Amino acid sequence: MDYTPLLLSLQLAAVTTFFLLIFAAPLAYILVFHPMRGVSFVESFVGLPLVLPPTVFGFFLLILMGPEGVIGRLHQTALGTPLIFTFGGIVIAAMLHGIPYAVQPLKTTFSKLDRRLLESAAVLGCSRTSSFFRVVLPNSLPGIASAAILCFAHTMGEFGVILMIGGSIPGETRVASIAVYEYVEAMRYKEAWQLSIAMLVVSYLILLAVNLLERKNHAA
Amino acid sequence: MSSALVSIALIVLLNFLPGISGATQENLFIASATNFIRPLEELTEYYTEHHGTTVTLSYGSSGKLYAQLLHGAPYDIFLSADKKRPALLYKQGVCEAPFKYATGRVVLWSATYKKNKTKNWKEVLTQTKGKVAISNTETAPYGEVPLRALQSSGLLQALQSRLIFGQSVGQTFLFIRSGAAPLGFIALSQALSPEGMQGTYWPITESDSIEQWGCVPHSASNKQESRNLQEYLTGQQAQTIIHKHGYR
Repeated sequence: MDYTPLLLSLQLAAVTTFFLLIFAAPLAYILVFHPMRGVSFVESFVGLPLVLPPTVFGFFLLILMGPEGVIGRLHQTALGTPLIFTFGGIVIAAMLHGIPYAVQPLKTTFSKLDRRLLESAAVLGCSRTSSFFRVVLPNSLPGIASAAILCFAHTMGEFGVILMIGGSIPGETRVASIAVYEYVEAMRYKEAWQLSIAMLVVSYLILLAVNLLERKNHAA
Repeated sequence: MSSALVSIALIVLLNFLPGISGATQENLFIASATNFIRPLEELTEYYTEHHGTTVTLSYGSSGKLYAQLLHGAPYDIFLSADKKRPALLYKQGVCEAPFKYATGRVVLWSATYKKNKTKNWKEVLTQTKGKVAISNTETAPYGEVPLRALQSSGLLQALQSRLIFGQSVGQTFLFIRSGAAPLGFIALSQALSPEGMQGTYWPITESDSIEQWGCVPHSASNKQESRNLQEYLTGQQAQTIIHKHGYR
């Protein structure tokens, strides 16, 4: 049995979650504490992946990330290699598709923070940037963790967008969800079963670990 | 009051849903391999006009449609892109005896490399860079055949890392058309479509032609109607239309 697709899914979820949080945390911070004019426009944009069907999202990305598209061209100029049909390509797609799953829980956590903390920080001469790193982030660790879990889980289950832009390359873009789909189509039910069961076990173990950790945190 | 509203809403809804309303007109549900879209649309338009039977079309790779049929999909006729799957369905007692309706060919196609027209397909592949799109080599006959051509011409090894896979020949076409993969293998019928004419194609002379067979499932809702359509598809007039689209 070939477990490469499952490892690839885990790898994709981990890398996507890591980079997504780096982008989402400052974004959520700005949206909550320093909203500029026209913030509703930005927030609606952030929510788009929740509404758009993965096929629509994937179709746009195929065009944008192709050699003629804006993102594809930027990548080509910066790194000299094409982006579409690569692991990096599906990471970026999964990140864009996962934005609301990171931003929403972060926003909820940030807005629950005691504003007096930030005010004191400002009085003590903290800049916006340093209060983000020294006040907001350290006081939001549980929220950051739940955002990370949501992103990870969502990316593990990513299917439609990757089907549209991945190209199903073994070891590169053929993640578990795609592999199961193809096994079923090719009527290789034995492999479909094995990979599905493996996916089920791994997903359950991840959730179990998260729950145990949460319980321990509450008890502490 | 509210229950009256709900029942009105239900009635309205049911009348808009196809298949649920008590329409007296016959409707045939056709499951077809993606490569056959263009001719099939033309054929069914004519058929509806002259026989009064409306049709619903569903597309996918032959492998997917085959698996769906095995699991009781409500199709009235199945048009596969190969000979193997209808024959299997016949053997398994799912379908009536298969019939051949078209013979297709695979071509290499590009919307990007238009000026290499005079070269042959192997030169085009070896003298260009970038991804090469091919349909799923297990479920799509239009992916199996070019894979065999690549193997027999000794190009597979060198090209392996450039291959990307579409779920059906329709997705493969999109990959190439959008420029995401500059080259790829599609059906000649696609290359001859208005969209396909915007690119260039190279015949793959070494490749086998693809015999496309279909069959009528035993579960068809109106077998006589399905057989009528089968007869029409294999008849002279329909064959002329099919040939016009790049089949033989």
